[in-house]
Amino acid sequence: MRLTDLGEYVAAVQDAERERRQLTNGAAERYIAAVRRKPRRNPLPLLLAAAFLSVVALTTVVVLRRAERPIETATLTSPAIVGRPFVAPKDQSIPVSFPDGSRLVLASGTHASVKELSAQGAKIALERGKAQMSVVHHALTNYALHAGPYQVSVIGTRFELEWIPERDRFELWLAEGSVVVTIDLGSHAAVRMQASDHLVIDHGHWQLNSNNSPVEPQTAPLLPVAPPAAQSLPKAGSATDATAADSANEVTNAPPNWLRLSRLGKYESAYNEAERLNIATLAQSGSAPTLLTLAEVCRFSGHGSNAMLVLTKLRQRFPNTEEAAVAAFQLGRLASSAQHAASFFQKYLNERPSGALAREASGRLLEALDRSGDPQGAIRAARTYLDQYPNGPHAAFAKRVLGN
Amino acid sequence: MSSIPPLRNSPPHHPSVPGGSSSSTPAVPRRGHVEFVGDRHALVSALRRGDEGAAAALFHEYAPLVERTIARILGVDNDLPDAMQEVFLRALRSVHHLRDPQALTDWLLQITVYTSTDWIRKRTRKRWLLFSDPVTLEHPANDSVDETGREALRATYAVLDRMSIEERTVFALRYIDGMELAQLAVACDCSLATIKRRLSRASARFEALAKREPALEPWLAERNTGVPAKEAES
Repeated sequence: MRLTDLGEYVAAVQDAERERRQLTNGAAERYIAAVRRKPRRNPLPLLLAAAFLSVVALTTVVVLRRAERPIETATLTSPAIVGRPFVAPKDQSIPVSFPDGSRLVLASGTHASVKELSAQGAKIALERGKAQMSVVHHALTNYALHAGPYQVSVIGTRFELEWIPERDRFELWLAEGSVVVTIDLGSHAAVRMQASDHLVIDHGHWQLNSNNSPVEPQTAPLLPVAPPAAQSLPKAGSATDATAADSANEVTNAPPNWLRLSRLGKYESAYNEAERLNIATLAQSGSAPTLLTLAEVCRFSGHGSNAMLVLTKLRQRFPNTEEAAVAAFQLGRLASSAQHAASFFQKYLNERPSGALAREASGRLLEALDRSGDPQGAIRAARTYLDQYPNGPHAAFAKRVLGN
Repeated sequence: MSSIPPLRNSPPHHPSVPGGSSSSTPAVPRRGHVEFVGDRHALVSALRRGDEGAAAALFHEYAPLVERTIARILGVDNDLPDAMQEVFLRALRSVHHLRDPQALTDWLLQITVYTSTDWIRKRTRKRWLLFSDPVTLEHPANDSVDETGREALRATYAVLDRMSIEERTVFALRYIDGMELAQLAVACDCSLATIKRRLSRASARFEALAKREPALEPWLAERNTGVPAKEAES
């Protein structure tokens, strides 16, 4: 039994369940309340301790008393601010500073709130209005801005975002760095933006102006963006386990409906079709290239756990193939923990040291090792990366790791 | 009306490094936030003094690790927030026993494992006393976890529920959390040799019990496709 494969799959599902149920919302506040109730063992002079606690208690009382009122003045985000709304007055913008030096500036009349806060970043909801964000990049930086159905994932950049829910209009100008905008409108899709790009999504119709060259707006409803070229499927022929289902379709020259839908970029519909046929059964019977496509359908339609199931099955059924190596890379991207991610990226590099995704896998391995609290592993990975890809996209990060 | 200047035509800006300051940044009062991240000695000293800001910072930094570790051992259920709080309260009560502040993470992980195993014992006693059914995941109407995944998760923890607490713990942390053996030994406060023995027994027990769970069938040994034998677990 492949216990590590099962474990990785179960971990991904469990993390999604934890995320959904949000069982520990408010845990920080309850914990602080419990801390205050417990008897103290304090060797410091009672006067000093009492004075310090008075300041903390007074500050906390002031914050708690304002719990019903939105925050209208510039303030530093702290755990007590999480969940409370920010409202920029009509004639004033408000800056919000984060512990790592990142900044959010809300334009006048903007409504927003910080949903989560951690040492690595925050999740911010832009209810309406305009915000500028400037994010300091660290190895662990992880900020996400939500505006309606759109999410902007940020690890170090500067941009301006406007969301007008009444007009169903989302607009983002990217000044520096790169971001990924995830769009969840039934068909899960993502747009990667580079510096100077300008993205407008108006009632589901999108326009991406890249380097000031306007792109014709799409007249059809929003279609998922194809995955980047580096992750395109390898050419078929490296695995020969064509199944009866595939053979039948080849004979009739009619690919399965879900496969046709996936080629049109209709991932949600493709997933529904595949699910009707049973994902686990398809994973048990399809060819290796088919399974890679099936995993992409699962991933792009927001069913990460099934994507992991399919990719895991692919590796079991077609070991030592090109598709199996690509599956390892994709599993690394889907992994819920940095340790698992590092393990998968390393597997890809072990199996395909000169493969098409080797440079990307090396960079992501380095990031994962750094995130997983393995400084020695990260240093080794950084040295290896710089030896092989001195000018690669992760070179700056690798140098920072070595510098630390 | 004051609005933020448009970004598109503004010169490149280099966000300030943490701890530094920018002349264009308005002064912002810092209230109730204590900077302890990364400075273990300062944090532990402050915890020993009973500093509430340090207690909050401890939670802030380690809550994700603690929550995840508890979830791996217990599963995801309504006990999670209470167990999590208990870990941190126990840490505050026993911080004077921590000799090396650099070992804070390992020490907190040990407390997490102890608390989780205590919780399982408490839950087992409660079920025995109340003759209640094992806790099962809710099946919400509008969920992001698909049926296959949910079933696999339920089945895995149904099997873990039938294992001893020690075997369950090492199995969950090793295979579900992906913890390295050395760290697992530290977290369980035993030797590497002991962990390996426990893990070997746990793996065998899990595989034997998993045969009763159809949802785990995809991970059972391939019998019909002729695929080469699976790799030995390391």
